[in-house]
Amino acid sequence: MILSILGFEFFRNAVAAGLIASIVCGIIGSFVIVKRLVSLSGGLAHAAFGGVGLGYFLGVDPFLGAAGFTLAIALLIGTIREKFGQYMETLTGVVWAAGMATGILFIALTPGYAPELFGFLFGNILLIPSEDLIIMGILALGILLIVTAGFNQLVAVTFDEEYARVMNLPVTALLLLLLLLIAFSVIVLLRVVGIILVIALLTIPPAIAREYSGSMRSMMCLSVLAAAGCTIGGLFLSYAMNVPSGATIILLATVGYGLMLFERWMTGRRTQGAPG
Amino acid sequence: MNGPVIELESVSCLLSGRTVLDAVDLKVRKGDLYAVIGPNGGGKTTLLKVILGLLPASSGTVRVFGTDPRKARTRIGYVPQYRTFDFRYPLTVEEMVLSGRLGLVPGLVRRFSEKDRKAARRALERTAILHLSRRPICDLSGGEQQRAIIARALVGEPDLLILDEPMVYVDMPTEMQLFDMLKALKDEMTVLLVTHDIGAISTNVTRVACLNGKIFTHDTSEISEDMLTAAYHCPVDLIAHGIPHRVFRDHGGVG
Repeated sequence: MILSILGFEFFRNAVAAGLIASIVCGIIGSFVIVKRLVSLSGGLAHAAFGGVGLGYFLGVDPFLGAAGFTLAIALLIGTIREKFGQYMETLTGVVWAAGMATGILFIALTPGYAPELFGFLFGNILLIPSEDLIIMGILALGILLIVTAGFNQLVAVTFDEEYARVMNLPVTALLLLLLLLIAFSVIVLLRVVGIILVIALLTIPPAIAREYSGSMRSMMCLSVLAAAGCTIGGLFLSYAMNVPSGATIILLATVGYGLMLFERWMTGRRTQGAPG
Repeated sequence: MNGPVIELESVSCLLSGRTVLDAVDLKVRKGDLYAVIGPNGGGKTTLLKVILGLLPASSGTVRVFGTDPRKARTRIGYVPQYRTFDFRYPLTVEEMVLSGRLGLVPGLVRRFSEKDRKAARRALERTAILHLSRRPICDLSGGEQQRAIIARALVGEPDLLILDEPMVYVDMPTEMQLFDMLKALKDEMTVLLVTHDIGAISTNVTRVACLNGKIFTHDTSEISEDMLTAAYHCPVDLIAHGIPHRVFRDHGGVG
């Protein structure tokens, strides 16, 4: 029976990693969807590759390199947007490509072979060591605590930035905090689905949940459930079919998105106010 | 404090090299229901943003409640122009209205108290949408959305209410109800409203100004011919067509 695989530590770790990732992408992904930061999240995820390359080059854990690099880029984006009035979209394009280029350059400069490179790009949920799992858990707990504490303000600033300013909320600080939270989420999701696929996990489950939610809280809860279904389901499916786990998780989520659209079409309920 | 609620002295505002406000003087006193009318692109929204401290004036002085707008704005309720944000945001009507009190909630975490919830209920009652409080905002009609935006502005029990084109996209009956609502609010707070639609100005306003880069006013509720010609650059009878006579004093053959 397929559940006997749970007897192996590596698989239990994978399930735990999938659940942690689901919580993170459900909560932060909801903000990403409503504040339209999808491409920015993709940019941050790809910028992480620069940190991976830097890690190889300096001989430190590439995972740590990616973590530090992503946080630094998030801070940089927030500061440049504020000080130079650049469009978020433009900055996204810049860090997306520059991050990848940095990674490629450093990997080329590093003598010898870069192990696990494929894992960073596409993720390998089956190869997550217990130490990394602990780091992921701590990061997820931190994200959860910060969002709980800042919930009202994060909702206010993502709903109506101008009104938040009129109410004298610390808008600049809150938006920077949101960027940092996205960066932390990217770091958590990196091990599960890899740099290239992070954007899908941050986008698809919350996008499905949004269709069935009348409040931010319910959207987050539904997102977590949808994401858990995709990651755990994809994990078992990829094991049973002996195919890469990250890709299976994302394709399962995409199928879910398609089913949601089909259901909306059948019931004639499109999101109100949607264009067209 | 008996000084004016809003006081602008020769305020100019340049936006990307264009003069949007040109030496504007404005005095809104306590208890006013002040209407600023003017054509589209005449600087009405810019004027409000300067009063709210969202845009800096290029020159001149802006005082709200005798102080810097950025300090005073926690006492202001603001009704932005219709649909400046996304009504598809997953939020119930009550949550949206409650969010308008966040600036008054102390502490780092800013948790809402029972007092905040009571204020939200009261604001929903006054705008006659209490029965919709659990409804997601995306399910509201245009008129209900406008009421929700006004409720959010009222929930902080402001001393000054600022409305930007509140009657746009609202049907006639709703427009009348909104004006009745403003009339009732006038006793509790000062109201400043801008609109491009002169027909929307009812007899209840206490003062009127015309804005088209420069501001024209007699500091009364009367819209005079010279104000309109100056602001709109077209004959008054064209604009005044269909406007209740109460608004216009007899212009001698016009109207």
